[in-house]
Amino acid sequence: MQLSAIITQILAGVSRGSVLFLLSSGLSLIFGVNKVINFMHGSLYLLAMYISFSLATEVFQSLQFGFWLSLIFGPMCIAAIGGLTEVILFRHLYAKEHLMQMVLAMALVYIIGDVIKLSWGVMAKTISTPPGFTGNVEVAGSVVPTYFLLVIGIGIAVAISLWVIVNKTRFGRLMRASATDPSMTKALGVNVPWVMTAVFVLGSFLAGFAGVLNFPMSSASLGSDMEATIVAFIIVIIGGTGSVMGTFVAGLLVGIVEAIGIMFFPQVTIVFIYLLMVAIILVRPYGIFGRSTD
Amino acid sequence: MILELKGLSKSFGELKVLNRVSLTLEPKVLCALIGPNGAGKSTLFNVITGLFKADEGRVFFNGFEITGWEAHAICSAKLSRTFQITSIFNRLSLFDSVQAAIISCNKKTVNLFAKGKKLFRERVFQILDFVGLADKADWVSSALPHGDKKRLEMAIAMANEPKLLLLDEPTSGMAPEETGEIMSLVKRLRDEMGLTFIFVEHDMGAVFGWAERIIVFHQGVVFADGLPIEIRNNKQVQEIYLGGEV
Amino acid sequence: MASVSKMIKVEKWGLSAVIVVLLVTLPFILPEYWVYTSTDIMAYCIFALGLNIVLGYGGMIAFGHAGFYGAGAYVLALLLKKTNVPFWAALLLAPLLPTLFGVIIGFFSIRRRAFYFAVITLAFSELIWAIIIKWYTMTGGENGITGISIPSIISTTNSLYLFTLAVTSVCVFTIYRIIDSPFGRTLRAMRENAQRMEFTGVNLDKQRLIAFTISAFFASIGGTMHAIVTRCAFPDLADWPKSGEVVITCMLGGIHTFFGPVVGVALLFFMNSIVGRFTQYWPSVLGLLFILIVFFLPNGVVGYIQESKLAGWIKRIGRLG
Repeated sequence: MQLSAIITQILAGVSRGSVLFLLSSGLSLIFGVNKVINFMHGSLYLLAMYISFSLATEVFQSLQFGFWLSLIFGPMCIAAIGGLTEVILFRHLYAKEHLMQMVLAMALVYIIGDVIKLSWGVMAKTISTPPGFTGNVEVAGSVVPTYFLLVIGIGIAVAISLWVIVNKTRFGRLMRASATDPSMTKALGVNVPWVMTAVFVLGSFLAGFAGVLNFPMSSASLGSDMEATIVAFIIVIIGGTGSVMGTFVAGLLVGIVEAIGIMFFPQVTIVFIYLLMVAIILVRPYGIFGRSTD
Repeated sequence: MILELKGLSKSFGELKVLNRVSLTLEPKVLCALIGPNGAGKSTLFNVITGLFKADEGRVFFNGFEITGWEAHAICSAKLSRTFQITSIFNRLSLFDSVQAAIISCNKKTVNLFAKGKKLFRERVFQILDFVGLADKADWVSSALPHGDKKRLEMAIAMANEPKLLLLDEPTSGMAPEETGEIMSLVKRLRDEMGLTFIFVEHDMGAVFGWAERIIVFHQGVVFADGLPIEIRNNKQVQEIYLGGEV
Repeated sequence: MASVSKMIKVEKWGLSAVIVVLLVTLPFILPEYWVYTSTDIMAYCIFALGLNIVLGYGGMIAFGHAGFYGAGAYVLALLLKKTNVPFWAALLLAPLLPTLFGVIIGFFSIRRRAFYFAVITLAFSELIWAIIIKWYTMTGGENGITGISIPSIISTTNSLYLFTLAVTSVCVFTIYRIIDSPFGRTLRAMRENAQRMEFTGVNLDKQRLIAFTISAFFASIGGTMHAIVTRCAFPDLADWPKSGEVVITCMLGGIHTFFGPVVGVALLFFMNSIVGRFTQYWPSVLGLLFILIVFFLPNGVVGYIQESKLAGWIKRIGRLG
């Protein structure tokens, strides 16, 4: 195995890790603030791919700007869907047992899955990399698609923005307060339900954004919704909740492990990720960056 | 000496909630623990019963040192408590609730084969009878009125045949009549079963009507300690309760 | 008072006797298709009742039980097709491997807080599914395993029904005894107030692990029986939609009642057979059902009946909750 091929593959893993970070950070936010195990997160991720497919190939005919427009409008659609489900459905269950919320989320996975099947059929969909990023560059002697570098760059940018939002802005303070003590926060005059909705919208946006960004590197097919949800949860478990840094590191870790796994042990790649999760659970039960206030 | 505390201290971060608390307690006494909110009374209970570990100091129960013991070990040692926020088993019947506590105290929790319906039946009814709930034995716990829930909690706390029972606000939310009923139940338990009680209370009617000894707690220390009549006439105690007459 | 309780007892035994007679004579009354369906229903009941040990009685939200169900089916299928193990031995051995999975998965998922439990159990069951799908040479991958042969003594529709009835009865009785035992009562108390039980000396993790293992054991028996009934094993038996389906089945009937899951299974099969005639989008129907139950019938059908004042006598029989 040539070194250059390995480097390319690792960078593929890093860019995949970037996507996974985006996906998982959305999940982590929703779990941390709304306290919802959002099984449908991966479904939104998958739905975003299909929506962007339609946007790019039908609405925004020419692929010149099509991809970029779908990168904006696709996640916005997803964010709207997320917000609607929160307001109409999830919001009424916060006071009830967690089982109810989880069952609701699961129900939506079933429904979104069928919606995708009904609207786009069972054939997998693919999209080509956007113009301007179809070429390759040389990095450390290896050939690397420029799109990978774009994805990595965007991932870092979002990570920094997210960190700033969570830790340095008023909204971030509201999020953290609502996560820690919703009733006290409400008593202090904060419109906690609105914060919950906003977080759900933001989390869903991130899922959609991750999906569209990932699309040119992968394909959209039925069945990958729950797969994505589970990987996202594994990353949240590995990285620890409540930590942007933790999710980022864990995302990269899983992306790289996955990439190396595909290269050397393609059939059992998935086992490595589980082994990683198991190892973290044993050694650091709250995740690499998690705290025991979990 | 059923209970002895020596120099107990506990801090949460900067806040020193218990400050070298020492006291001794004779058996079969009805002892009230009073003090303004935030004085540290619940924390003291938590330290004695093993929910919290003290930063320094020692706890002795019936002559044995129980400092640092785990909560369940202390429960086995026949020290029991109730909680400020009623802690019962909402969806279980009264019978099942008390029975579950007895099963646990008798270490039968892994027994998969015994027929459970009649297990410890006599003891469950004995306890329920004592607290006056025997006729509601197959009611669902959540259906009980508030006062009965407090009685149920006491019943559950009696599962391990305690010698010392710590009650955290046993009459909170009750009208005077019901308060009297609960406190007379407490007295009966002391008279007929030889239990010792420490109860945290804010209801001065309950305190001065029933306590045989009053410990006043303030800012993490024992502020005053003595017979009700002494405490009643203690000017400083009156002052810490917002300067009013007690 | 004594005569009233005696009356209740006679009522209870009377009703039970009627049900037993009904069940045993069923194959001779109903058309063959319904006998076959009833047999499959019974296998699923073992699965659902097994899940409810942790879901309803333990208050543990397990979304990965299909892993055990599917594994139970596949181990039996593989033992019968790939080895020379005789049928009756295979039947007894098949649930063991999935139960071992149960211990391992339980060990990793229980020590974390309740939220993570659902996710980790789901994740591990997907791992089982992935192994089934990918290990083509062993399991046939997506094509599954078909043509399992079973002894002629139980191979007719009626005899298979009676055999399954016997197995199911033993399982139901065993689960009932476990729920009624000191262990089961402790489990229920833990569900209501874990902290209080911990305070009295209960090792929460140990109790939950035991419950989870027993639950996995019965779920895998359900899968084994399903494989026997249908003579095949397919990967979707272990996939997450099946895990969700069994959860909603229990909820449909009522997770806080003993026979709730059984009622749920019967209703599920009934709905599936009707919906299947009109549309291939059963998942969406299932999803809508989930939503309706969550918002309107959270205690399930049996739970709802129990709460209504009309059903005092049903309450006494199905009491354990």
